[in-house]
Amino acid sequence: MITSTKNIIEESEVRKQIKVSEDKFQNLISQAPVSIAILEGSSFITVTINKMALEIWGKSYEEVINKPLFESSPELEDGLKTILNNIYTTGVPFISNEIPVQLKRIGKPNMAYFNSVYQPLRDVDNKIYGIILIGTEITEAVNARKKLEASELLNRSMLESSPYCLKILDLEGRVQFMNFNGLCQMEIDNFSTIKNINWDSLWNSENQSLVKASIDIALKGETAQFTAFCPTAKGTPKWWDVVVSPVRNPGEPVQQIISISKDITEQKRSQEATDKMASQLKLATDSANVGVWSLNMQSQELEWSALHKKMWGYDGDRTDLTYEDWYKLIVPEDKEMASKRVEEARINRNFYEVEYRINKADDNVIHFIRSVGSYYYNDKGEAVTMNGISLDITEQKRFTEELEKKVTERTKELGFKTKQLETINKALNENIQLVIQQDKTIETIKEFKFLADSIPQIVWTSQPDGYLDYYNQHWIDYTGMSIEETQGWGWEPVIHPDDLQQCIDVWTESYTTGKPYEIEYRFKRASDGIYKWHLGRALPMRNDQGEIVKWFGSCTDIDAYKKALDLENKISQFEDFNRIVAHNLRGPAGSIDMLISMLAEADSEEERNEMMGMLKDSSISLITTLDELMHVLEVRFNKNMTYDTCNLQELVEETKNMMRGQMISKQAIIKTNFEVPNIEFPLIYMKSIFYNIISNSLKYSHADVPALIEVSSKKHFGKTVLEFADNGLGIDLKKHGKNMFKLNKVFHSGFDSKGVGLFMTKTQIETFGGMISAESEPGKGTKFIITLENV
Amino acid sequence: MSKISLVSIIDDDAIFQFTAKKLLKSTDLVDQILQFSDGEKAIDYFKVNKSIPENIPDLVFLDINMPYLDGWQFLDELKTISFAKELITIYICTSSNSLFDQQRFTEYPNLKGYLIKPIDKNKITEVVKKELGLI
Repeated sequence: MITSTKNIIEESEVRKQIKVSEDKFQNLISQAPVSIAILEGSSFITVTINKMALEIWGKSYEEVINKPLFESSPELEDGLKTILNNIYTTGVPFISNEIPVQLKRIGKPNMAYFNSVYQPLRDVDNKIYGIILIGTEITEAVNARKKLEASELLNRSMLESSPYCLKILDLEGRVQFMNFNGLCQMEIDNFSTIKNINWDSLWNSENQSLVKASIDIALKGETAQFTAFCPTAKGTPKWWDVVVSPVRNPGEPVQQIISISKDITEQKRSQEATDKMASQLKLATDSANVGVWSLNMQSQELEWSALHKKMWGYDGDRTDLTYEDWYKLIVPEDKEMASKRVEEARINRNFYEVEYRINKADDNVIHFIRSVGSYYYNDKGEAVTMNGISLDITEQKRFTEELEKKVTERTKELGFKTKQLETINKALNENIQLVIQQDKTIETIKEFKFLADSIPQIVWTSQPDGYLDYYNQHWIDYTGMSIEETQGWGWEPVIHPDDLQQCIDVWTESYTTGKPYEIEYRFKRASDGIYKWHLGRALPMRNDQGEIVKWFGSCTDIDAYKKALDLENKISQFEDFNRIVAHNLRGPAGSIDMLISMLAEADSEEERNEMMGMLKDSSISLITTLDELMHVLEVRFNKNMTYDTCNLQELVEETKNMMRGQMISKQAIIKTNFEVPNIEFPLIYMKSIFYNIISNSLKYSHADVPALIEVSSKKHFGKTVLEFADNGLGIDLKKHGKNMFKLNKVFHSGFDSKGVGLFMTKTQIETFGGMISAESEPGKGTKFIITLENV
Repeated sequence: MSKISLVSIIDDDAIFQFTAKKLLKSTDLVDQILQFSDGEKAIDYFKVNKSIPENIPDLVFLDINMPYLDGWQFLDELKTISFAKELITIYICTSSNSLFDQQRFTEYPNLKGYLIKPIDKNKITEVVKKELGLI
């Protein structure tokens, strides 16, 4: 019991002690120069917090105590929640340095810096039950460091921003620093190559003592200055203006030496240049006869060079000459202009340049002067002096004038000559071109003649005007005439009298219009006096300008061909006639024969009557065919029928009238284009030809398309060509071509046709020396082409 | 006695068609007669019936001078048709005694003969009998 009492007493004592120690702890915490907060539980309830921590959080004790941290200070959740959760779950402490915190101290916002440690709190079972946050303020240390950094930065940036070459030397005179501009100016790529090197060793040997002396002065606390030459690391020659100063706090010993070098190479150079220029100018002005003068604006005192005085016609050594002596020699007419210019220059503060004449003092000769000058102003902007130069430009002026005059003359002369030359050149060129062309032509002709003489055919050439200037050997052999006899023309003795006029007409047309020449005519063979048919052809040869320079002609013997053609015609006609007899006459005759033999055997009276009717038809058919044949033969026999002048347009109109009914029902249109309005042909046959062809076109037209027939005439190689073109059904010429103009040939089903018309047409045309042919395409139309010999 | 089942006359002459038909009938050796007034109509018929042997005539009388397609053209066209029936006997039957036509006839070796109109009963009976192999 006693024990227990004692224990109780001891217990309470212990408790008391613990309380004291807790109070002490709390007190300690609250007084500590660090911020302390203890958070417990997973919701981080603030159980203990000291004043400094409250200050950092910006909260009062009541606001946060015994409350979950992020409830009382939600603004901390963002940065802190993951960190605290991490510590609470993993037990790994979190340490961070120099965390900036915006604090409100004494009502003012204030930037403070903290080093923080967040550590887990563990119970006896080593289980984490809370986190202790400890922050040490390091604001002052940070600020101090920042200030230092800032000042160093400032120093450094000052040194770097200097446009000069800036070096810091230690007390031994060794280079410790050189700014960027300095490195550039000294052409040093890498500062480490000169670090700790004695500065004076960078200089030429003759300047090293000077440099050393300046360092010594600086070490004594004074500033030294010198100008010296020193090439850069890469050898570029440079002049430097150098200031060497000590670096020290007042009253303290020198710590460092600063040297500032200014690159004055350019200045040095321009100074040298200026000096040089001045001496050169003197030389130049004197040798160039330039007078130099200067007028004091206040005293009106004029200083002018001896040369200038001489220029004015005064003795160069005279010293008594005034402004008036200068001014009075200017000719009165120029005075106003010169003064005006000078005044303008004064107002505008720029140079004036003026030309005037002077009347020279010694010989009264007028000289031209060019004067250039300007005012010089003092600090107040007042014109103090006027300086300038004067130049005697009389010679120059004269020379220029002379030159201009000469240039003008020469230009005129040259222009004329150039023109002449151009004309000559042009003429020459034309001649050359002509010669070249002629040469070419001659070559061509030579070659041609050589070839021509070697062929067994008549060949000739003609000049553009139709003058025949060459015949080949074959012509001479054939005609038996000499070149001289047929030169120019001379074809009369050779050509068949019937062909002569046409020959002349066609040839004249060709050489006047340039149309290719083609004609058939008969030439008399000298050896036996026989006329043989020839085909004459000629083509023009043109030059580059398209002008005809020559005609090349040939005459080919086509006699055999002509005869063969004639024979073929005759055979063809004979064949036609034979066919008519064989089919068209024998057909009905045969029928009659058969019918008569059958009459006797007729079964009935009715049948006999039928046969009698057929007999009648057959005999009519026989008579009709005989009539047609008679007509054809008539045409043949009437070969010597007289020719009439047939007007083609009239023939068309007449045909239209005859076929009015068909024309209307086919909605037919006949277009005409007669380049040859009249042709010579027996009129009744020509009428028949027009009738047959046009009625043929109307008969075989498309049912649904209006019939269009185009009739035209033209000259072609001396012959008259008459064409009939329609838009009708056409004929398959491959199939029917050979039968086209045969008697009783019909090419289209369903039309009333006896096929007599085209046969008759052909007979009529061929009998009178013409030809008929056809071009056709099934479905598109047919074109009949009639070629007639000119009569 | 056997007869020719189908005989064809191709001729534009209506009188010949009439007389020839009458003569053929009078022989009593012909069953049917097929008539065409020109070569074109005939060739169209042959083209359509080329694969029906009983419609193709055994004996043909062919005129030369016809519109649209004459006898020679008909023969040229006929060559291009392949028939189911092997043998067709063709006689040229024309009023033309022209040597040109007779010369032309020799260029067609498959023709049986060249008959010049007029044709009498004896002649036609001879042709028919020949065809039937009676002569």
